[in-house]
Amino acid sequence: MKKNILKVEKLVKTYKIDSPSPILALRGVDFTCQEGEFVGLMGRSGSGKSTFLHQLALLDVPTSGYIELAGVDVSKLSQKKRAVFRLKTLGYVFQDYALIPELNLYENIALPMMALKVSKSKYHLEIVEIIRRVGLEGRENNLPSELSGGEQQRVSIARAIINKPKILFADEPTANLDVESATVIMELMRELVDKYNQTIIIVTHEQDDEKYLDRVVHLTDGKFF
Amino acid sequence: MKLPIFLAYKTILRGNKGSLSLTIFILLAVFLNLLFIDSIFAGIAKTMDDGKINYQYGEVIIEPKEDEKYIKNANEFVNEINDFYYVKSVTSRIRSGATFFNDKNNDGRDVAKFGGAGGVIGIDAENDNKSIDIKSTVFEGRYLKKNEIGSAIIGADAAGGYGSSPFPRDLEGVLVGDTIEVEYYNGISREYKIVGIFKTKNFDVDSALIVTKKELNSVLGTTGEASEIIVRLNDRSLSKKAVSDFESVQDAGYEISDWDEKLEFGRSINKSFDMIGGILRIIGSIVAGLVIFIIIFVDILNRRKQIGIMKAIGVPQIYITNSYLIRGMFYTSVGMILGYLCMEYCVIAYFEKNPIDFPMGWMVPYIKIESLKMSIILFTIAGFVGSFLPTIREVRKKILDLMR
Repeated sequence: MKKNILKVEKLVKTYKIDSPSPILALRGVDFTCQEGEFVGLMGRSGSGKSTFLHQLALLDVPTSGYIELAGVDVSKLSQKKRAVFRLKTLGYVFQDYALIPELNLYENIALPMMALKVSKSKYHLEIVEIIRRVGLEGRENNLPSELSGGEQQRVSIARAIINKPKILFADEPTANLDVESATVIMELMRELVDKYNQTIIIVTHEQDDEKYLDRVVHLTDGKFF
Repeated sequence: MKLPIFLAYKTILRGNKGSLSLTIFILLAVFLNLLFIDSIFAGIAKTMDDGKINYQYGEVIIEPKEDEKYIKNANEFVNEINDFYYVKSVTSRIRSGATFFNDKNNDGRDVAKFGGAGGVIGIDAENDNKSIDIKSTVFEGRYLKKNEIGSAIIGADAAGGYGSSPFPRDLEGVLVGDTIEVEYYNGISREYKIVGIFKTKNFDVDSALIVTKKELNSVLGTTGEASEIIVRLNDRSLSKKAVSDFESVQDAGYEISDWDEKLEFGRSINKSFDMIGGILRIIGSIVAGLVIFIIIFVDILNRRKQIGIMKAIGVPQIYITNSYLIRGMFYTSVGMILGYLCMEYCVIAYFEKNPIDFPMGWMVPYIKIESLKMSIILFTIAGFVGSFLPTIREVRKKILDLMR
């Protein structure tokens, strides 16, 4: 039986909390996700799905509620420990790829390993393997500006998984891509789940993406339905 | 430090070359400005010192005791000190106070009179210019010939009519070929034909009349005596040692001073210049700090999303901060190095060929080592603070705010 790798209870996020009209983005959300599950978060614009993903990925601090990631109560972690936790346990794929423009493909992927002070001799083969897995062999020295959108997103995924994260988050990773590139990205993520038991939580607008997902949850006005 | 250095190196190497060049150029200009202002003051002070050393005192000057008129065994003493390895040249001179008269129309009327500071100096015309190079400052006529009698060269301030002078009265325009009358303090009067006019821009010298030693000896009745012995050294920094060594020669019993002791007036001006220079340096450093702050701040504003990306990945804040600090310090260091090279090999090189005409001499900007060290320290601090403050301000922001 698969165990829960992510558990959220009564998660609340309020913006402009001190103003007369605070914005309630998340209204006491409960959510669980099992190891190796590929979950899609869907909902209309402004429904709170990106906000929810930001809380899970520790990019933001919730107003209240409980988040447990890979068995750790992250709501009690300090800023510094949250950064280390993100680096070691989580991966994040941004909608706009978020690559460092002055680093080439290889160096962008190596960045988390370097932050962990892993020596190049140890991570080199892993990077070569990941580059092969995302289908970008021979492009190691290319800068992000020399890659297409789809290729950049594959680099972003490679960077997000190089540390073998327990959970991979992706915020609309195909939104800026053409249909063909989007298909490649979704197939790649599906492959990660199937072959490597990677847990992935993805925010998506695309109904077509549902076929790759194990489960879809819908957010409306900061609550699941 | 591996990751911060790596990130700084890559962003410098592959970043926008135009921005990099502009940033470094601005820092170069700021540091150049810092050095230039300081070097002007140092240059003026050095010009004054050099003027006194090169045309009046040498590095060491030997004079008779206060109660004595002359150095009696001057030639013997000169021979002895000439043997010291650091002595480049030595000259002995004889001096006398005198009043000069210029009867411009040779009619006994409107006779210009000058009793300025310089008096009459008797020199060994053949060798004196090896120590005190008056010869090269003669701008009208010629220098004296060996043992020449009845001829003199005169300083521009005494002669009058050759530019600004600190003296309220002069001889109102003596020309080469004119004859002037000199009345010595011992009552003897002589007429001299002016064969040359010189200008050292040291008013103590430019107010003097120079004749040969033979001529002045005949007036004063002296033979081997000297009023002063001027010593030039290979290395100015050895002047204190030289004074000490010379004092032990024959148990000299003379007044032996180095140039530093002689430049009391110059020293007080130097102190004032140092103080002004120091204030300007601090103001310049604050301006430099603000410039660096603005440059790094703009640079960071353009890169705040990247800071957000690195924070989102989990790169520790200290690494991100350090990488921007390294970049800032790189800009600062390169700006300083290029600023210094530009100052040394462009600005100073230019002014060496085209010195600025100051009343006290031809001024070339001069970088004092102490001032350079202080400027480097202040600029480095300014660079550090200017890089650190905007970096820490941005790095501490929330990831999502940075990513927007």
